[in-house]
Amino acid sequence: MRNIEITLNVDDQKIRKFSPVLVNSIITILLILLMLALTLPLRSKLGSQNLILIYSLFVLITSCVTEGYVYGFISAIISTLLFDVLMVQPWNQFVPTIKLPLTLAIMLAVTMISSIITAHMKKLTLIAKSKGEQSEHLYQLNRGLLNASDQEAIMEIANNYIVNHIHRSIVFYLDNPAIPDSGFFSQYVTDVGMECFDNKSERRVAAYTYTHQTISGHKTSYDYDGKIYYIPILSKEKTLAVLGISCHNRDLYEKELGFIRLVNSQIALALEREMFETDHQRMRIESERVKTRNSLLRAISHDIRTPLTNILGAANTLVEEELTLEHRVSKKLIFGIKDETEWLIRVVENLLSVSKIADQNMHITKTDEAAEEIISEAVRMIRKWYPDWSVHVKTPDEFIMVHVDPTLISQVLINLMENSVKSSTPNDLILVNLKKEDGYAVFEVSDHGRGISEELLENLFDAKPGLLSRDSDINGRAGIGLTICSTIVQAHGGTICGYNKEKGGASFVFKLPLQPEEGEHESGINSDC
Amino acid sequence: MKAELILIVEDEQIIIDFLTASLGQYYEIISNTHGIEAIETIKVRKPNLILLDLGLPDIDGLSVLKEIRTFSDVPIIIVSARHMETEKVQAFESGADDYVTKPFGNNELLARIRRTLRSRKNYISEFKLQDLYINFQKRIITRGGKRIKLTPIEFDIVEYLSKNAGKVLLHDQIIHQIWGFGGDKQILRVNMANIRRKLEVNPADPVYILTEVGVGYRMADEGDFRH
Repeated sequence: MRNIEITLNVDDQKIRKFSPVLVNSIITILLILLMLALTLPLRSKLGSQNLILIYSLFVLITSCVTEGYVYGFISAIISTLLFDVLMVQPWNQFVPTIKLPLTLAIMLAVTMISSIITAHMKKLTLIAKSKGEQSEHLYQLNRGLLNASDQEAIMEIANNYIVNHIHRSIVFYLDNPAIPDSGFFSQYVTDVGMECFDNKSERRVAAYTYTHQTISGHKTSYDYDGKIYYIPILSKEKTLAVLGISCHNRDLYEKELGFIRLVNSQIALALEREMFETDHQRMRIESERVKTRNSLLRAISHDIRTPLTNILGAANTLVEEELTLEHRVSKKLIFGIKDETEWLIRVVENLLSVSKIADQNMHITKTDEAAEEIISEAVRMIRKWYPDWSVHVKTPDEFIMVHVDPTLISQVLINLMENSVKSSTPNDLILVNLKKEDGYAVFEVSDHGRGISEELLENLFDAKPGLLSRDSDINGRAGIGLTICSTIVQAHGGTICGYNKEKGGASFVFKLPLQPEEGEHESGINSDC
Repeated sequence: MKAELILIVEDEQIIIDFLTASLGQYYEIISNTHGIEAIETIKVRKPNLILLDLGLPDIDGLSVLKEIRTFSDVPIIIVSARHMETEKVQAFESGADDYVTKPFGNNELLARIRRTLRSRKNYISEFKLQDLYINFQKRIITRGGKRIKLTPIEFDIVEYLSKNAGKVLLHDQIIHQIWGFGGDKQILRVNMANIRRKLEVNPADPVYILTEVGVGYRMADEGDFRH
């Protein structure tokens, strides 16, 4: 269960410092004192009607500025008694005459009625005000939820909002609560901590709500004695989340429940939208992958078909014209078969690499490997296949460890070196260089050959069968090899690029991050060096 | 001198045909297409070396390999179209001497056969390869007459590799041999990097100790310098 820290509203804390009873009592007493201060010096000059009006006025003011009926009511009784004692002849003593009690009773009634009316009006204003505030809060919640980029952000906003309004510890489960780590918990300062939520029995109750899509926990049919109340957040008969609210301090009021229902529907909307977006994203990536794979397959089958045609043609000629062929010609045909077959073997190796990536959702099995060992193995292969070419390798003294699938990276190096071989003569040196730069292992394969044609340079790493003509400059076979190189490097969270050097020849550079990265299959765009 | 007897266990007749044609010039060749037959043949004919395909029609090649190892330590070279490093490691662990991936060149196979047959005749006190000279008793390594200083652990690794020159030694094998149960691949890699820096003329481009990525290391032998 994850803990989300809550930022408490500041004014919320201030109000909590003084109890409303104390504040209202003080106001009432102050008003009564003010009334006495005004009327006592003037009691001989003002007539009793005026005095009664002043007293009524103060009772009215009291009921206006305090909360509820109670203070107006108390103020009316006190005022009436004080009036009798202080304002009616003889002064300063309580004289129950027959006339006065009647007058005073009427005054009390008038005061009480006016007090009740003002209190009622005040209550209406308060309700209107709180409704206004509520819609303002809801608007803010909605705005926050709209901006939330993922589920966790939604949870953070929702947790903050609810805890600040109902002053209780809560938990959100985004998945079946039985699964560990599916909960987002927030604690209110005076309420219980995570341990009261994150235990077997509470999770069981929460899971009940999740699977049965009904409320459970505190004072419900399931786990009546529990101290946490669980509400499902539903959308189209699917449980999106479960909200658990602590009832450790007090039961939930009807008002709070109404508020929670309102917020729940907003959260459900936000979660639904988020899910929809994630689905959309996934589908987009999926279709992108299918597209890449299809274009790769198209390119590869072209690459296989051409040499197969050559082999079949040569073999047929040899079989049918066995007796008439000159020895020199048949030998040439046989060598052709050998060359094309060797090429096919390379294509199959590449195919295997692609399937390795495509099979596992671009997730590859990586191990820590010494970069220099991968290079030396790839170079050994190239030397074996092309003994006439010379490859020069340079690696730093420092030992560089990379987190990769070694056979795939070796394949990238082999493809790049093979391209260099195809576009140069045995006299041109091929250089392989390794260095460490800004948290990346940087591999470079360069040559002094013919370089990359303008046409190919534009779409170096996209497999386009049209560009795979076998006589094109860098050799048509480069196209497919490079697409695979780029796919492999990207699957490792790296980047690859290729360019022509100023002094002639091509150079290909690819970088691999030295630290394992999260979500690396999405990063890495090809042509920025 | 009587030529050595090689048994080819392989279900593809074409492969048997061309191997018999090319290897037949140097060795006496017999062949089996099924694993069970092959085990019988080995018991009766006692070949000097076996080329074993992992994909056989009746039983899995790895099981054949394990079965053979229960009664014989005849050199076995695995010939397989399976390409994964884990399969290679499995084969070596089950007692294979070498592993050739299909498709392969005749020359490469011939070199592997020679190397495997030769490495079985070892019991050596010194090792020579091109400019490299190792004396195991005195624990001295020189390259081109110049003394190379290795730490004791580094020397042990080089000694283990050179006594098995030409043969791929798995990471785990080396770790177990040198450190017992206390080592790990990281320590081995760092040690190998240090050895390369001391032993090789150009550490970036090693010629003596070769890497089989994902599998292990191999000390080169004369065959690697013949081009």
